Amino acid sequence: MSYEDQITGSGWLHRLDPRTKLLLISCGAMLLVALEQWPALLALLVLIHIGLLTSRVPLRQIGWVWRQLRRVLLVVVLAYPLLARVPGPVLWSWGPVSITTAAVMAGLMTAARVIGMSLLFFLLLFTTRQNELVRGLVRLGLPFEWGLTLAIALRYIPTFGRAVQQMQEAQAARGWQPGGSLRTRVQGVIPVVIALVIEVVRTADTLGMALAARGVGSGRPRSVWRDIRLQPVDWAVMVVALLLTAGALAWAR
Amino acid sequence: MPAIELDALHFSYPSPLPGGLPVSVLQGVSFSVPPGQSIAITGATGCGKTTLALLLAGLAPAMTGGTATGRVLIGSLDALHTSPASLSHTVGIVFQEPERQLFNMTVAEEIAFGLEARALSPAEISTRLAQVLQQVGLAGLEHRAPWQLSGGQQKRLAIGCIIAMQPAVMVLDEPMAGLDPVGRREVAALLAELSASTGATVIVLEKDAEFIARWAQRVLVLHEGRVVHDGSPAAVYHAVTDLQQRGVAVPQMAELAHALRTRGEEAAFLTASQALHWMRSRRPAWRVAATAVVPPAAAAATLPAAIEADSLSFSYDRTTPALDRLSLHVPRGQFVAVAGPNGGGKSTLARHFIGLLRPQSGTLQIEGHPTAQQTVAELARTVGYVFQNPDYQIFASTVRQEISVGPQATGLRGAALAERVDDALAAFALAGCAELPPAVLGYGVRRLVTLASVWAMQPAIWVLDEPTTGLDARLSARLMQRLHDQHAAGRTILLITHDLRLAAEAERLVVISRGQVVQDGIPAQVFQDAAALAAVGLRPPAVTRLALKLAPAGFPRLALSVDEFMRFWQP
Repeated sequence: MSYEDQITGSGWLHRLDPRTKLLLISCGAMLLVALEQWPALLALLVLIHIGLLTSRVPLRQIGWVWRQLRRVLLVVVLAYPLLARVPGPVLWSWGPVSITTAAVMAGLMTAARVIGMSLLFFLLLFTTRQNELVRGLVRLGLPFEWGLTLAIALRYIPTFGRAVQQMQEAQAARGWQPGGSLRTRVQGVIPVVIALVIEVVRTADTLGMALAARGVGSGRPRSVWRDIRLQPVDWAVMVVALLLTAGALAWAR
Repeated sequence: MPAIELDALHFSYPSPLPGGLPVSVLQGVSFSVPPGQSIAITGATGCGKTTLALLLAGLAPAMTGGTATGRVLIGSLDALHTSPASLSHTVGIVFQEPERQLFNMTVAEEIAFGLEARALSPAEISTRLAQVLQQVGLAGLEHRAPWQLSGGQQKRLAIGCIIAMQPAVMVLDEPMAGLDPVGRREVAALLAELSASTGATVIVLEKDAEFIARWAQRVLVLHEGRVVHDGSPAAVYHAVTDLQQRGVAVPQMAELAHALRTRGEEAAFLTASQALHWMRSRRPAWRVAATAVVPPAAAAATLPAAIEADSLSFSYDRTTPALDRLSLHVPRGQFVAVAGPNGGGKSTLARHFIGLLRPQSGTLQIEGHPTAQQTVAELARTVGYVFQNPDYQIFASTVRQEISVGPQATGLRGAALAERVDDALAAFALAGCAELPPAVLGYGVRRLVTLASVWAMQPAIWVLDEPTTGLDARLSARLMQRLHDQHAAGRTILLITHDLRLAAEAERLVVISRGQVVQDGIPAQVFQDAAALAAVGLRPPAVTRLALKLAPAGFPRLALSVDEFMRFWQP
């Protein structure tokens, strides 16, 4: 599972203008933060899933986001009630530590927000082609070089992921035993990190030259081969999204 | 006006170590290239080829640092004082590694990228895109991601990106590097007509002598930052002894011609067909030489097995098999070369030997023990694995520490460890850089470090995945010498290679394609069936092809090397 082989579908989200999708996820993010009611929050999560599924984003990609976050979610759910003192009826206490029902609910709500935000982010990533994303951001005022940098960063994450895997294999092939105590584990990771940094620097060097060789940095205006254009459906989606958001915020007050 | 004019070009990089002296790379390079010429620049590892490529494209010193003096004129532009982006209108450069220059998500976007920088209209971009796709043979693949393409296709795409920008000068840094024989042929076919179809001056910086001999109109040889030969391929490759002393690869037929000249013949040829023509004109009468070597008998299957793979199957995606019921018996102490097209299963098989992959069905035993129950680290005591990319297997901060990693992991300490590491340093002539960080060393030396690191573990079985990639003739020969030493010491060697000249040195050649063993025997026997080899994209070495062609005329036996050929040469 990687950004490299994501965009296979051509559902309605795929066809939307990236700017429309940026507005969509901004609305979603705003609601995730603002809504305090469980029914509303759950409805929003369901809505995000429906959006992804109706746009034929494979279930396995959505599952991948959940799996990637499972540890974070677990930590949030377990640690939140311990660390955040929310007043209310005490559920369980031991010495100075006491856990309230409200704190447990607050932990769950935070976890729901984390997964919601992540799904929104991946909604954009899973349904937007790299050049369209960059084009959208540039049209919204981001300098071209910044957009390009972002796109390249996304493009190369899986590449370096593969490099790390091969480095770890090479390390094992030299007799390194994985596992063991935390100390030996850290000792095992450091060399790979160093090898990776060298690899990233080498790649960045060549990449910088490859970009220059293809005219980046000339300071002259560029043309756009496949420009993005807001279609009637984009306007419709934006209006619906804004109305729904405004309605939900008004209701939540 | 010449397309390119270099005058007394000197270049040095800043020292990689703090407080060190600058590293001088080019020391007074002067030459001039008329428009439309196809010119190859060759030389041993570290001769300054890549730096020269970067200077021609205006990328050095602007983006690399370092100091240049002298003059580089591209047409009327002063490359040393023009920004790389401006110079990109006149010079296009293709780098060695496709992965580091293909940064878009589809083939079409990749080609369009440079045209957008030219501010062409969308309609013009579409037209030119279609032309270029046709020209580089990627039509129909425009929506593919670059990393999903084969090695040859990636190189062709990188070249297409430059063709699209229509530069007057194209510079290609090692276009043949890292390709399998099929990819090489694809790229060679594209380059063959590049100058004619684009009108551009084409400069290829390359080690592959067989390619240069066929392609170039002119060859320059760089040695330690200076031009030491400049002329037609026929003229330059006449100086065989001098080139070999400088570590420069020579076409095998040039070597043969040289060997014939030392016997007083007036031979001059670069390709097998030229050689055939020459030999037929000489009308020699062959007779079987009294000293004819008898081919070593294939080792009997009854010897204890180092590697015993039985009906091994493996699939990465559980649908297309990477290994398909493959069986292979390698007796202890055998030197086996493994060849075959990329994606045919060579590396997948090799990765099973060290436990990085486990058989999905079938069995695999290493020195009599099934790999299924052993960890990679346990197998590493028996199997020394040299990976393809040296940079993914170097971890320590000095060469000495790097070589110690393996023996240390197997429990060696103190004086015994130091002695082992010193031996490894000596075996690969690395003592001089023992205390240096591997990252500051050149590619070829880093490759030797990885070999020394495995050597220090004294494995019973060596598995090497294309270890000569990126090495020049001399380093490659040194590597093969060490492998022959290890073989003589009773070790089992499994060498994966695309270079059948190296494979010819092995006791046995196994060809793997589509996950199966398709050819297996002593190299002479496998080479005999040129048609079966051609079916998997392989060709016997030039000297062997020549011997095959001469067989009807009475040439007594298949020759695997120039020396062997000369033993039968009795006109």
